[in-house]
Amino acid sequence: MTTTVVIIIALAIYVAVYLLYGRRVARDIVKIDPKRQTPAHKLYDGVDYVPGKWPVVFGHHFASIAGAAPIVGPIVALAWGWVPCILWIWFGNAFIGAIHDFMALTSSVRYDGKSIQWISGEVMRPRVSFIFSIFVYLTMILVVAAFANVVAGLFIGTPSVATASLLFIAVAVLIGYLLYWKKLNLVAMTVLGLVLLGAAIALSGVIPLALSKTTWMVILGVYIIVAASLPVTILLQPRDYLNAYLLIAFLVVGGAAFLFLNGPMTWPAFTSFNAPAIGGQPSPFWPTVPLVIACGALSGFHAIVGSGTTSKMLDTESHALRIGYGAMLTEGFVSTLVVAALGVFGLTVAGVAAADVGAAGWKALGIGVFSESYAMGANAVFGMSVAFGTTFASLVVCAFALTTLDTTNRIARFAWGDIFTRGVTSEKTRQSGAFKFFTSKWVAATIAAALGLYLANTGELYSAMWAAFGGANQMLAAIALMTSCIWATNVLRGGKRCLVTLIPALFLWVTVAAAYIWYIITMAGIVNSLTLVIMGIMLVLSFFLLYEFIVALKKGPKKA
Amino acid sequence: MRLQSVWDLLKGFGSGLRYQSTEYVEYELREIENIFSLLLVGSFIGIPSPPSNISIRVLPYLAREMYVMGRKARDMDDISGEVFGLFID
Repeated sequence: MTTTVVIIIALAIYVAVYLLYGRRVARDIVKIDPKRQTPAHKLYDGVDYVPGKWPVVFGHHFASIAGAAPIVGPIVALAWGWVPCILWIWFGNAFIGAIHDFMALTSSVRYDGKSIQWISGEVMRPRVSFIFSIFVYLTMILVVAAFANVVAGLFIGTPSVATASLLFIAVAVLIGYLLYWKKLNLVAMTVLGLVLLGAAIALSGVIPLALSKTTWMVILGVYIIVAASLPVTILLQPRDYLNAYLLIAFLVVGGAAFLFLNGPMTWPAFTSFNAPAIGGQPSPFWPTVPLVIACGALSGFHAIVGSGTTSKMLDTESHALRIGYGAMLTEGFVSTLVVAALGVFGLTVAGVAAADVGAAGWKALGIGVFSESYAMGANAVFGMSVAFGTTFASLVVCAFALTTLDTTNRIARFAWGDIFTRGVTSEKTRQSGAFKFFTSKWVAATIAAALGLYLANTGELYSAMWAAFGGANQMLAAIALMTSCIWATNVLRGGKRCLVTLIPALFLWVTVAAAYIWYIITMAGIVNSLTLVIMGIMLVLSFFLLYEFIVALKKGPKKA
Repeated sequence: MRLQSVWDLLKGFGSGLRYQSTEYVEYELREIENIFSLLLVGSFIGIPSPPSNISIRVLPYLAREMYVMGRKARDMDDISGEVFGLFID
């Protein structure tokens, strides 16, 4: 099998499921009607609700859902071999992830742009929405822990990436300053930013920044607290703007390189059902695979993004399929590229024998191995320097991870305030100094960052923390799918056709709940006990949510 | 014609990716506009603001803000949704 064949099979599967399955769900269950007004028209205000051209909405939605996660997940999952890994990506994508994203988006469109969290409270009971908030907050803390681990590991493994990333931040601040304060031309500043970015990558190899993990954790902690509290125009906005160009270059170069490379997949196709993928412990492929490959196959956060912003920008309902379903398939394609890159060059770059993959003592590959494999593909097809390509690919992953880290902390700050405000109903308590102190922006940002970085302390086993984040994310997806299922059954009255949401919802819930139990038992002593407590809380809450789901399903459609 | 369509698609996709970077700025701008509206017409609901006669004079210029405020008030039970939607996975 070669990379070209893998990529062609992936494209064929995606086109087939889109046309044969996605379209059918859109037609038979959601009953997409291009004539029905979308919230962007119905509630048009030129502020939140504005219709956009579908490629623009697609690009925006895709950029929000495709970060570092679809790259990191497959890297860890390759312990099982590349075939089970890619099968889960394709299966999860087509029958769970894309359906989940599409249903979340369309339900939000039908509820005037309300979030999936709000809809869960509407179609089940209001307390489900509150639990959803708690879930989101706990997930955010695990996101900080998982991504801080990934970034620190990358910086330690490839010190030149640390230099490039810090220089990238400096370039972003400079471009932001020139754009917002000096009001210089956008095109000129974009060119300047990209030239400086190229120079930063080239320069980073000369002055690699080698620091310990603890030092990096402290630096990352300070960074995310400051970035989460600074005005967005100083760092976040110019950095995200430059990130968009990085993502496009990364996808175009990588996609073309591995499509035309036609290199043989030398990575073992299958190692063992119990390969040590998570935290170096034997991890059964089922139920633990969704904990490892989260966003590449399915992700709960997509429902939050789709129903939070995308639904308010949809010009017509007929765009929902290509944006909700299509963007998820595109993200799966990114994960497919990662598997293809490591499939060809992974063994050479990591310097391991095929027989050692997934054997006892195996530790998940670092991001650096993927970056170098990517660079070797780009070198073989386009002649790009391997050193430049490695730093470039690492910088892209790192830029996404840092973006996720600071947006997470910003949102966790908000979620913290939201939970307190909804949980504390007494006006007297709300006016107290202690309440104001705990909900102030600096305290809220520090709590989320400190908890996340405290949990991140898992030594070299970043995969253990990664799986905790994956589990939280997948349970969010299960809740969103349950919400969609109740909506399809009780509101759309789809009858037996709603099985396309019921089966994935229950399959995902059972799988993730079983994986939680496995995680709590197996990871005791490997991860921080607070991580286990968080996982335990989530497990209890997930049983409660299942109960609410069954009650709502039994209750049936509301009588008119 | 087909090439033009492909170009439009790629252009739109690129705009979408860049749009994502201005999302936070837009969100903050919307919040500032809300505060501005409240400052101007808050006197009607007891918030210390400019005297009512000044507020009434500027009212015709605030039609859009009033509409947005009404909708924001309606969405008060879903304020997390918009912020959570800014997450990047």
